[in-house]
Amino acid sequence: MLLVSKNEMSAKLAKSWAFLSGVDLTFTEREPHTIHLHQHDMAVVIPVTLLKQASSRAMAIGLIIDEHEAHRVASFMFGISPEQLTEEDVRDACKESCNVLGGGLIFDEVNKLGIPQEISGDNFLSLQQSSSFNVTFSSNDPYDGRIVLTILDLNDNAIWSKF
Amino acid sequence: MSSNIESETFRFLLVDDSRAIQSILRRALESCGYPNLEIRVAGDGEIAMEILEDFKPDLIITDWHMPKMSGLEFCQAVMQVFGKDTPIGFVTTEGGEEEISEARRNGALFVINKPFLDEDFRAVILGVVPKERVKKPEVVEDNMIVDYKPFNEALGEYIVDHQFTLTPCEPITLNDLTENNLIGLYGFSRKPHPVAGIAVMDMNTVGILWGLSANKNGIEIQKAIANNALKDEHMTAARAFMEDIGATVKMPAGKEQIALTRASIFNRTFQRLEMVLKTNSGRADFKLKVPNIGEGSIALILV
Repeated sequence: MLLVSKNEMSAKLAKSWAFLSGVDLTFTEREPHTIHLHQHDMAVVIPVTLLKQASSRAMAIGLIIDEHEAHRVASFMFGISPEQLTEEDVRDACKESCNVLGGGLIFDEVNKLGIPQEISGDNFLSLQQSSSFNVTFSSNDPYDGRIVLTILDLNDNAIWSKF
Repeated sequence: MSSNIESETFRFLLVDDSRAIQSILRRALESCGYPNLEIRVAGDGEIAMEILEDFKPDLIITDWHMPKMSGLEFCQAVMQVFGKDTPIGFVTTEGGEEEISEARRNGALFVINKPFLDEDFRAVILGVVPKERVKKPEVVEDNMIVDYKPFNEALGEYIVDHQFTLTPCEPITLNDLTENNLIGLYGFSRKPHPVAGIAVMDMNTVGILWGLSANKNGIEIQKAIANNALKDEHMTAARAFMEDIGATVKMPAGKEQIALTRASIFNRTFQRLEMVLKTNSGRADFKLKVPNIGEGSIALILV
């Protein structure tokens, strides 16, 4: 088994988000095709190496986070007001958020996390299209921001070389 | 143990490629209540190695997944260059049992997983770097019959995928013990007589070692302890640990190393136990704490 159960995912995401942002949110599983990138969304991915599997197979953890949430989480993590944040602060916070949110959903005995990287919306969609299996959770906060965490099972590990 | 307190500066080095996590760790350290705090940060292991050339922290806290050099490689480099007594621990998303064991084998005092609760973080950090620093810890260490680090490492072999803190403490008394306790007897060349040393472990510690070795969860462990359900067959891990710590005892010059000869459960009312606990021909006493699971006491006494 590569991932924790879907029931556990929801609870783990909520716990991780509270640690990162100080805000209690619930996360619900979504159909992957209902998730679309918006203009000011930030996308971060972490390559995941599968141990004891064919080297051509890989997974990725992806985070889509809108501008509002990105600033909110960065402000909490850095302990400063959103006005004081630099672009670099926000990127750093989003990468670490992807790491903490996604890291709790995989089993460390059979997966190895890589280093988080920011990618363009187009590249995120390419990754999503090349995946055969996709688990997606998003925050239930319709009035504020949007946080989407997705785990992709990539058919071809070589896709990373395109970015 | 001396209670002299120095109001000197407590120094920490944070090694993490995320400045956001550095900020979270800085706040968590500030909430520990140290009187004076100096915190330096490094974005990777290479920079941290340079800082350590002229900065001697009370504790290094490092991430695992970092560019250039992984946290484990950094830990190995620190031990090699700055000595095996350099205090270092991990705060990471890495939760693999094998990796945590590897970290401990390489000298890590703890592994805290992200996300963590501030109170759990504080418990671990204050266990490793107590606020009330004794004036001459090296003298206290000299009086102890074991060194902290190998004792802590031996314990890490049994508590593989959980955070824990082991804190040296004042000599344990009957009041610190549970109703039943595991008593280990040590001899020379594995001969039962004469008795050369005694280990006293309360049932909380026995339960923790049993449960975590047998993959039990916190509730199962707490229930087994509370219901007095730990019997002889549950003592395997505790006995093995007693065996291991016998090898860590610093024997007086010319004396053979002691070895465990037997370990049995005794009630706290056992008369000789009180007498043994008052013995001080050389001893080491520790409090063990495993967050969300429990706390216990261990004493190792030469007789």
